[in-house]
Amino acid sequence: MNNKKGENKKFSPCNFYPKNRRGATLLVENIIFIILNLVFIAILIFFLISKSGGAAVLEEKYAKEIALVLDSAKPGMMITLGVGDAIKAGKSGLGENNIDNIISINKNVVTVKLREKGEYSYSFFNNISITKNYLNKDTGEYVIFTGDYNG
Amino acid sequence: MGRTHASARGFAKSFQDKVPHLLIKNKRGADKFLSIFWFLILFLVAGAIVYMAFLFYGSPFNIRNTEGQILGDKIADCITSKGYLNDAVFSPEFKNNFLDACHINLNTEDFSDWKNNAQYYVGVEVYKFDETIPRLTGDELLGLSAGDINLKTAWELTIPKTNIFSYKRNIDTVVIHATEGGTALSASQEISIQGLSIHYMINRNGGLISAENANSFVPSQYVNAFKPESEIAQQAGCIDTRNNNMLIPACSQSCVADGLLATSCQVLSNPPQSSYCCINTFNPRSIGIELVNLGSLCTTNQNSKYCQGSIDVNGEKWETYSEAQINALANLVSDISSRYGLPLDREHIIGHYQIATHKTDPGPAFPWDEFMSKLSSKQGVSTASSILAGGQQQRSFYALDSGGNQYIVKILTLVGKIGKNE
Repeated sequence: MNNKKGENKKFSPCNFYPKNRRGATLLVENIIFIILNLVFIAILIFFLISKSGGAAVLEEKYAKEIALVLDSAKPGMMITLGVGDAIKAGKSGLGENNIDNIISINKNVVTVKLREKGEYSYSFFNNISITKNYLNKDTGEYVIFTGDYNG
Repeated sequence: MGRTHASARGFAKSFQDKVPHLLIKNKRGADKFLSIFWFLILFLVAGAIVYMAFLFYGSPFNIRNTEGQILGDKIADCITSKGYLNDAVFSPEFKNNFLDACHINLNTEDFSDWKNNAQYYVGVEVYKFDETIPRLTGDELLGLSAGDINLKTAWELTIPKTNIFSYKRNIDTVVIHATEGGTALSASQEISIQGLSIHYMINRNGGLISAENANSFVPSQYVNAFKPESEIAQQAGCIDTRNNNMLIPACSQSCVADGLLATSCQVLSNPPQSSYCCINTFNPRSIGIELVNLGSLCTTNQNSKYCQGSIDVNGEKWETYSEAQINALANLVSDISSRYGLPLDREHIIGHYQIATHKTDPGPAFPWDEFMSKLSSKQGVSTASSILAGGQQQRSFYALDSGGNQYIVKILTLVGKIGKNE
């Protein structure tokens, strides 16, 4: 590569940097600085996204939403809930084949378990019996059938 | 200016000597501090964001309000149907098992250690409707309740009574009394027998007794010593119940300054009855709080056991107030102040002695300065609100019975439960 003076200029890492007309290095540190900033912000955004979609947050959200639905339920209902996010979180937290019992309802308590070490339980006050409940992994739905009132 | 640049460069050089890789040189060899400080700021901002994220996602997803609403709906549907009262509502079977009859199970506390936590409170009141009565007092036909009474006490302390049927008095004063008796029980008995009443009483251990929880502390015949805030209590009037209910004359204008007794009118030791005077305007506009305290203990034989734990004022010994009592009083008065917009000063927070010359309570042992200082530190803080965090629902509606009689039904549901995270 020849410059204006016809001198052959060999490639080197130093020559790769853009030069201004005085030949000084142009803002190399600024480019690194910007890249570091972008990396930093990306890590921060990743942290926030992972936190908001975390298994612990989903467990609490689903347990409480299901408890609310059951509080309002009447005898003889079929309740279908979309739990796609919980299934996805359960697969990554418990394994592909262990998600059958991520949601359980026992004695007025809803328990959601999406992690190996942890679960979230929430109670409901409606004294209604649950005759059948299952997770449909294909459709991402949780189905609950209510029977008569207890007692 | 030149000196400043020179000293900055000198500092930069010494700094770079110590930490050579943290500073970047520009093309003229001048030092750039920008990078390290910029990253310092970034880390601070990131730390704050991470902290806020943990705070936000770590706090519970609050559905108590919706739960309270559903619970209220369920009870309303159970008690009434299409505007008519359920015929069974007044039957003893319904009263005894109204939760079962309404298909409500509040016993989920049995799950693990949830029994230790306040979960729910349900209260139902049915009144005969009478449009000539501006507020509902004493004509309750049915009162049902279940759940944790502490939730209701917390709610009573915190929530302004916005219900259209409740009568909210214009409160501008809190009057502090001392029981001059040993226990809450004996004081309640005395107050009740004399036909007097009070809104709150604070035990030596700081425990609070009110109309809401008095049943748990005093026998039922003395519960009438406690009135809810919405009702006037006979606690700051001008009747001397210890002296044949003698009506104490109103103080002369010269004895009253800024609505309270002038200092010159204070009668401190056994005045002749004719010199008593009183300001008879405080009962309707005040809330009365009794502190369990013996008052004056002894003037002679000061080594006796009765004089222990006391302070000496002019040769007379007075029982001291416990710290728990003062703290509880500060919490309560702060709460009252926030609900009624009451200024926290000595014109609005007064002692009984300030409105009646025949009274000394709360007495010279009461630490006014310490109390007012604690009070000012709590200004604007509503102490009980965090217990419920939005889980309260109150509703009132009209209903008819099959005979066409009109009733008012009031339903209060409080949800204070938490989830279990393992």
